[in-house]
Amino acid sequence: MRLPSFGLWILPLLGILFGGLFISEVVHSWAGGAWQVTDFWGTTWHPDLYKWGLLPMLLGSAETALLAWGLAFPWALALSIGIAVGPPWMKGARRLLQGLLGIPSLLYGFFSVCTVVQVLRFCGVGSGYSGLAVGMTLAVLILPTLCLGFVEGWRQLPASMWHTTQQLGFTPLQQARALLPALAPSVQRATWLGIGRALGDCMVALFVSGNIPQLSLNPAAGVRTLSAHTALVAGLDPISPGFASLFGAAIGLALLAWGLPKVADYGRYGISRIWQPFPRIEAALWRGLFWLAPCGLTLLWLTVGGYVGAQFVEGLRVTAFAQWVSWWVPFCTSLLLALATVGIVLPLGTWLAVRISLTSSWSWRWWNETMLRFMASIPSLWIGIAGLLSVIALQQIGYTSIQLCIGVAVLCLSVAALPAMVYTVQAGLAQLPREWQKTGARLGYSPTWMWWHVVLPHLAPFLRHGALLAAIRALEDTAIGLVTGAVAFASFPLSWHDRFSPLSFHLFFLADQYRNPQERAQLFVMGCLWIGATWILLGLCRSIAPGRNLNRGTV
Amino acid sequence: MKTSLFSILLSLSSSLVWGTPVKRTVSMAGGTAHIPVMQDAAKLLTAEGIELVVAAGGSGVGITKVATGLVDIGNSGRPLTPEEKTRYGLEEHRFAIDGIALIVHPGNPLQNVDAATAQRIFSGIKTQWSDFTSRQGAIRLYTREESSGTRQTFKELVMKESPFAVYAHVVTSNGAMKVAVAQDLDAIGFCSIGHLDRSVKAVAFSGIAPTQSNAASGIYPVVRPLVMAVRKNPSAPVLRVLQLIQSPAFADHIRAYGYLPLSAP
Repeated sequence: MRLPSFGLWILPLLGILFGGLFISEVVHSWAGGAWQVTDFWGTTWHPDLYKWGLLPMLLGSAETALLAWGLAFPWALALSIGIAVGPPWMKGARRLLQGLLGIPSLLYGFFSVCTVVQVLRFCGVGSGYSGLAVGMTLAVLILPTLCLGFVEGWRQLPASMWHTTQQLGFTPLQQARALLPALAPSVQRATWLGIGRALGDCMVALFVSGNIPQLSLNPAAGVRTLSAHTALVAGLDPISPGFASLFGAAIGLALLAWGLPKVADYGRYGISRIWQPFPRIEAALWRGLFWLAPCGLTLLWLTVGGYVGAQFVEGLRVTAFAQWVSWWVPFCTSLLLALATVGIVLPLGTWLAVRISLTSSWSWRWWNETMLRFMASIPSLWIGIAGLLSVIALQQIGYTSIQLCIGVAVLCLSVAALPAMVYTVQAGLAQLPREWQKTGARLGYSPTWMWWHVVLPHLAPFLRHGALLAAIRALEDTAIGLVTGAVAFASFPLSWHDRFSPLSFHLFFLADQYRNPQERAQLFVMGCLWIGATWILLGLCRSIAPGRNLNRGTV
Repeated sequence: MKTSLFSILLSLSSSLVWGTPVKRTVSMAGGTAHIPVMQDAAKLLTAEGIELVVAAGGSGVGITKVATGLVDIGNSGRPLTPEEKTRYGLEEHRFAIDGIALIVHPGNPLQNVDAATAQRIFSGIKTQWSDFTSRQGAIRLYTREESSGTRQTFKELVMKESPFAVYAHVVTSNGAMKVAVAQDLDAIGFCSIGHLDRSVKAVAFSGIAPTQSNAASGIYPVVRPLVMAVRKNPSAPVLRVLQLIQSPAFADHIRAYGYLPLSAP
């Protein structure tokens, strides 16, 4: 039996490293106290009495992630259809989505506290801090991830499919409906990625969930999610019982990461079956969504843009020139972090995706897929803590020169961004015949030739999309930087072992410690700088791989 | 060829960094509340040839990092526990105190709360505003996360042995607490006196107004220390940093951010 190639070991190895860390800490905590499994997974959060009550948090995470996916999925699908087959003005939605992609989750959380929570409270939904508020905010957060994934799927459908449906006299909307099953691989990957993103996000849940560890299935009640819980207890004394709950939380997240996408898959099939007997209702629903989705997006942009714009103008008024100059280095450092992460993730993620697609071993493929889902949902704070623990471990075994630095941060960010890259490339590979290597060999072409002349040109848009997702993930992440050595003041890092001062540090500091409305307004100015950085990255991605015509074969 | 060119560029960039005139570096990490004060200290210390590198992460992360030798100073918004001192061999250096005020919406009629009532409110025994004010409706509680120094001080000095009510909302910073309370007529929470502004109303505690002067004079009882934790036998640059921050000359910098310097005359 031939052993699987080296690439297939990487993801399971990372999974085992993370899993081993969690399990060893849980066993370690277990050995030191006299508590039961039910204390871990009960409903009472009282760590001093060894009552860890993680069940409400597990349900809270599941509830908010599914709510976010349920709200975002039809919206994203309708938008992607609009972009693929709709009138030319709908293509502008793609640019709007890419703009949303660059807004850091911390700003989403802050914006949501000031708007969504207020609206819900006005509507009588308790204090407004609730699972519903988290679900709505996360829906907006994952909307670009889902929709842009679907759009890439539409772009890659063979032109013959579009031509056939066109010749049959279908309208553009009917074409999209008929070709929807062919979009399944992209829908599946984008769904995994979107749910993983919703599960792993700390900042939105921290800001708007109320963080109440109570068991309630009412979305209007306050909840605590596992990822927010991770952030809440990470600052505790590492030998305290409360800190030990962090590892239980990670195991809970791993379970959800494995189980929720399956629920989402079944949900998708279930919905299509429910609507099949009612074609008129379905057609009306499609048409309604087709027009409502871009309107909703425009309205969202006007609201977000209006609020952020008003704060931005106030921020500009109160921000001194010297302060602008002092933000220049953090701005460039954030860009460097994003580019360095892409530099690692782009080749590694592509290679991994290709290795997984080429393996004939069912078990290896299952392992890698499972580990990918697990890694996609790990809160970035956890990845940062793993980086921190690794540096401590290396120091303790004698490598005292190793310190927290930009190199550690880039490695941690690469782990966080890797699933997005692999998923995106996998979606592209799924549209290639599985036998491309054998076919090439029969035609007398070497695998290298096939790779450079057939596979890579086909994958180019997916690579661009994956690189963009990875860059944005690196750019918007706050937790990893905070744990792995971001400092308040540092010059532009010129080597891997330098300290660094990214925009995310300053944004977090302002969100955490602002004392007056002027400082709050500065937060939004910094947020706009951040969005500016995203647009620079978008421009770079476009210049690396020019896009293709979206309307191949469509009306 | 490309590899060697890259190596040359990398080593050149490294030498540029390591060739800078500032040689003595002191690193610190931990509580976010400390950062503006420490940034001022960093500016003063640069003139003496000491580079003070300030990172965040929260009190717990600061203590973990100093205990494991990743940084020289760990900043904490709460006193170190006896276990932390003995297990990690840490020393505690207090440089300021910070008062904690009970806050409500400006439209709330509540003016004063005694210690026993505050304890009953936050432990969930009193649930209606009508129990002690002219206002109707249920009380909405807002507290801080478990690792917060503000929460630990409030728990120790106000809650005593009572736990916080399970249904209390948990927010993660003074700013978030102000936003939550300022927008909710039924809310009650607590935050640092240094963060008070007109968006919220500070409630007198047992008849004593939560002001800096009352906290400094010792009349106002709910105060916490701001702490720097170091390992035993610190180096000379670390000692210089501690000395500067605890000196009377630095008191104005601490006061500028709403905290009360312990070195003030």
